[in-house]
Order: sequence, then C-alpha cells, then structure tokens
Amino acid sequence: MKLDKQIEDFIRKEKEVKVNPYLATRVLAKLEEKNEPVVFGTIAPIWKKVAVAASFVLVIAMGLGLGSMVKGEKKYIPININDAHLENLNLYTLTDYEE
Amino acid sequence: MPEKQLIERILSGDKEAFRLLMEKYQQQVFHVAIGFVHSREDAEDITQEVFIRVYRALRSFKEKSLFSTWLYRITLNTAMNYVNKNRRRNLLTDASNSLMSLLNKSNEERDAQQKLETTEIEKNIQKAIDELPEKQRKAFILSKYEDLPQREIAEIMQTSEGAVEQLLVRAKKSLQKKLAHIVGN
Repeated sequence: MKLDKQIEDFIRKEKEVKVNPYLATRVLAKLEEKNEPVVFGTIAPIWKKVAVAASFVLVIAMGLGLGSMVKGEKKYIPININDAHLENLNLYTLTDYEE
Repeated sequence: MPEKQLIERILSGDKEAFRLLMEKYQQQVFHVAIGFVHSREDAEDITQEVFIRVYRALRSFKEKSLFSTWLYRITLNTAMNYVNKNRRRNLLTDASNSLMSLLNKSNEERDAQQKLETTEIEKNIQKAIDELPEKQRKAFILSKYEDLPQREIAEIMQTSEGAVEQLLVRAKKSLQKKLAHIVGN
C-alpha cells in the first residue's frame, strides 16, 4: 500500500507539470519553417536538370579531349570503283537476247 | 466547434483551426510524453513532434476511430521512437551526472536527508517504469497518466480489453518486485 501511494504520488507530481502555453505557437512556427522545402522542392528539380545537363557536357568534352590526344598518320587508301563493272547492263539493253 | 468541422478547416489550410486543435489536446499528449521521459523539455519536444506528425498525416485520418484514439497512437509511437533514439545519449548523460555527483559530494552532504531520500525514491520509481516491457509501459502510462479506461487503452493499442488488463496486472507486479526495497526501508 505504501509503495502504491509512492507511485501514485510520483505520477501525480509529474502530471502537475503544465505544458508551455506557447507550444502551439512554436509548432505553427515550425510548420511555417518546414514549409520552406516545398518552395525549395520546385527549385531542386531545376538544379537536378542542370546537373544532368552539365554531366552530359562534361562527358562529351572529355570524349573530344581524349580523341584529340590520339596522334598518328592518317592513311588514305584510294579506291577506284567503276559502276559499270558491278553489273552488266547489256543483259537488259540488248535486244538479241529476246529471240 | 465540433472536431469534425475543425479537421475540415485544417485540411482546407486554416492554421488557426490547427492551433485550436493543439490547444485542446496538448496537455493530454504532454502527460503521456512525460510518462515516458520524465522531463519537461523532452516531453515538450515529443508533444511538438506529435503535432507536426498529426498536421502532416491529418489527411490520412479516416474517422474510423475517434480522433483522440488516433492521436494517442501517434503519441505512443513518437514517444517510443524518442526514447529509443535518446537511449545512448541518456547513458552518456547518466555517466557524466554520476561523475559530477561524485565531485560535488561535499555539497550534497549539506542537503536535507529527507530531500535526498525523496529524490532517490523518485529515481527508483522512474527507473522501474522505464524498465517495463514496451506494451506494459504503454498500457501503464495511458492508464495512470491519462486515467483512460481499459476499453479505450485496448482500442489505442489495437488489442483486447483482457490483454490490457493482463498488461496492467503484470506492470504492477513488476513495479512491486523492482521497488520492494523502498517499502523495506
């Protein structure tokens, strides 16, 4: 019984503590403050897009840079192509074959 | 103003309505929170966190249960999260407090013996409550700090009234066992 009373007294003492009357104001201020990311949220995708575009530009620039670093003689092989040798058009144009 | 209307106004963006809702329930949330942390500052942090969560989740409140039941559930979860998160921090604080009390022993000796005893008893009760298993602790706090009937506690904890009764009986036995030495003194 004595113990029960001591526990009850302890709890009663804690229940006597009153909440800060400005707590509601503090919560509302916090909510206003936390609303900022909503505004920030509209900016963030723009930054993301810029970052993605910048990374593309960087990769292309690196590719061009690496490509231009390669040195050596360029060999040109002359190719002589005569279209007339590809297919004998006489087969279709000579009338002798039609007999 | 009826609660339903208040919630509708909050959902339509009326922050003043939310202030009214907070003022209506803040003491209840605070009582539960202080039952978990036994400190005004920490209980206020929990209360603040609870209402921020409520504001964000209000749209998901389906009115299948009472608003207060839903609010108590959020409070219990927030308080338990807070306690678990701060357990390590509290261990460090306790260690430093012990060290400080050793250093200031001469000052403490000047304090009245009665006051020291009371503080020691309170510390023991606080520790015993904190050491209760999670479900027993929740049921005990809702019952003793908020004087809620077992039926309402059962609804908040989503269990049966019989289970709540068992939890409260076990919590009481556990406290008696842990605090037996106080009565012995």
